[in-house]
Amino acid sequence: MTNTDLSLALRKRVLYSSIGLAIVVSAIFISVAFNLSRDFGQSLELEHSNKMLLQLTKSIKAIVSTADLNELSLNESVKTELIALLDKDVIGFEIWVNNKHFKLRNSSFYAQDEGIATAINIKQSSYDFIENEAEMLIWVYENSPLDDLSILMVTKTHALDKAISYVSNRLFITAFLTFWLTVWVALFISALISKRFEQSNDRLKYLASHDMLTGLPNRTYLYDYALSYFTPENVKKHQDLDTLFAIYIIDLDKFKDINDTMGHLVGDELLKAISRRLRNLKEKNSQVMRYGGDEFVVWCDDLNESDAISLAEDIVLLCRQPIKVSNYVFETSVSVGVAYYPASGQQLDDILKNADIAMYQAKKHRLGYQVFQQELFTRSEFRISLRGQLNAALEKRQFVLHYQPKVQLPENNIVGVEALVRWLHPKEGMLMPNMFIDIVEQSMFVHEFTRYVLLQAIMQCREWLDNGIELSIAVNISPYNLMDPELVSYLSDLLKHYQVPAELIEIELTENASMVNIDKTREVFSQLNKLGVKLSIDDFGTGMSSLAYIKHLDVDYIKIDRSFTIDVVTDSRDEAVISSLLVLCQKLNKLTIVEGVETIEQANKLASLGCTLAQGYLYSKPLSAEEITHLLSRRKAETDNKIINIKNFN
Amino acid sequence: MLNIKHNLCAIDRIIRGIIAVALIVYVVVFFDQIGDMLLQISILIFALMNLISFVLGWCPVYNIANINTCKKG
Repeated sequence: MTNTDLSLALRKRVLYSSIGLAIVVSAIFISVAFNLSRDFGQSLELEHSNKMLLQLTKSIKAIVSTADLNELSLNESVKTELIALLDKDVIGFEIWVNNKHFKLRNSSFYAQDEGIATAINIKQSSYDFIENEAEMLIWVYENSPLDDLSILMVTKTHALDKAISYVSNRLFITAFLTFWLTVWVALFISALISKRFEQSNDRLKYLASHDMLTGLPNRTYLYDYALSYFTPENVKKHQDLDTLFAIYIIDLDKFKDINDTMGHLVGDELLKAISRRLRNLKEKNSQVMRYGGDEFVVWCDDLNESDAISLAEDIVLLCRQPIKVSNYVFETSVSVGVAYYPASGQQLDDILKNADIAMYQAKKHRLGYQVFQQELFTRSEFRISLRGQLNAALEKRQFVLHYQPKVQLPENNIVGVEALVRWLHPKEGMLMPNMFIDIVEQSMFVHEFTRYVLLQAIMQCREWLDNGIELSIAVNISPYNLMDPELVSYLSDLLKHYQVPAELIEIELTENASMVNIDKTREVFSQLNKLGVKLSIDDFGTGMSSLAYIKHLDVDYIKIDRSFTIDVVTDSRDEAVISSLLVLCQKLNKLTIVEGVETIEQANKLASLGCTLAQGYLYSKPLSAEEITHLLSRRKAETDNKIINIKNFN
Repeated sequence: MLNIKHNLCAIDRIIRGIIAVALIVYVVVFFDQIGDMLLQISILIFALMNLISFVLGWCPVYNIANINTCKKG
């Protein structure tokens, strides 16, 4: 039901109820006034009749005192004298004197009246009205026992008719005017009410379609707007002409961190500031809406592709300007996903979803903005399908471990391996961890997955021990696993069950992850330490690299990130970082492992800097369990031979 | 602001014209019978308002109540 319908219905209701009220009030008013006028008229009539009767009684007594009552009936002159006293309105006049009944005037109008007959029979003074077809009559019966004289007088009424006629006439006019006035007032009031109603409705509509914090239209508005936008004309316009409309999803980077560290009030102020900036976009056809949380949507119509891209650039630049909120200056950045109609979807939901995919892409790769392309969708769809297959993959043991050796420089002896997970997908083939690890981390299987990996690693360790190979295996765990209360006891049970020495297992946590919650990390690490497993910080140097954290976390290894290794030969800055870290770790009594060694030059350089442990494709790519076992067996044989040879030599 | 624009349709205007004339005739003919001065004046005012509405094609009450019988729907 639309607003107009509601207001019309309301107006009708007010009008009808007012008219109904007017009718009821008029009816009561008319009834009361009518009765009042009738009662008043009757009392006037009665008074008049009584006066008349008193007068007549006096006259009769005067006549009777001079004439013999016995002769009254015979004496025509007396009778005529008495009749002459009667008014022409008197239609009945009867007297009873000395048990004699004289009818001086007589009419059939009252002959049948029971009230009169009863009054005469019981000789009780009384009066009443007789309603005749043509007129109203009043009768008065006066019984005077002392004088032995009773009189019945019946007269036509005049005052009564007149009173009723006046009153009814005026009442009719008054009722008519009242009725009309009521309609006017009802219309007036209903107009006022419906106006208020519309105002409050508009307010409610505004509240429902706008965000209270920023004052921008909200998601509901967006959907309503889209509903009204997709008219046949607009659809045709975009099909025929080379114009498009673009939807930009704008998401603030790291907004959650600001909210968490600075408080929601500051976060809110930041959102307001961003919304003010977005409002001032140069494009005239653009509309800004708050999509939810820290996401904004800009809807811009009548664009060509280059306009659309320049608008995306504008948005990114505009939001990148430092914002001052409550004495803090924030250097915010946003990620913008752009999707076009009709190229990126025919329905609003599709366009939004695609813009969202593009936005996540922009965020992931720090691109600022990203225009949606079909391949992004395909990738995203692929990820969604992988998410659905996680459980089955765990059950069917589709995850296998590959192992990359860690070597000791400069002899290149294998001193350990890092376990790296591969998903042997029945359709997609072998999937690398970067394709699914974040899906696992976001799923409910994150603990189960890590336990599975730990189990596989420990079983492999046992197998090698059985074959006389003693080699440590490093397993990467997710920061979410730190929240698993059973992780340590599970690992301890596994080690006991497979009788694997704890020092052969190494737990790796990336630097960023280990810094998320330093207290929790320290707690879990200390438990793991007690267990005897080795601990290492992975990808060191890429996150915040707070030295205080290395100091506090009781780890055995620091793995220097590959980004420092790549240019270590040519870039003296990388060399400086690595050598400083080596010194630092040495002082802190922690071993360092350099990751990503790919060339012999790098290896030589690192060895010259004093690196003792390294990992990379130069030594070996990650190998399957069989391959690595084969390699290890060969190496072992070589070493044994060497020893044997030496022994033989001796 | 009262915006004097036609808001009465032809039928509405004619009905108002008839009512106005009928009321004036009634007051003139039955002047004594009505008797009450207040009523006589009220009816005359009412008749005059209807007459004005008839002439202008515009009703102030409709205007306030936002009713327009000129347009359909």
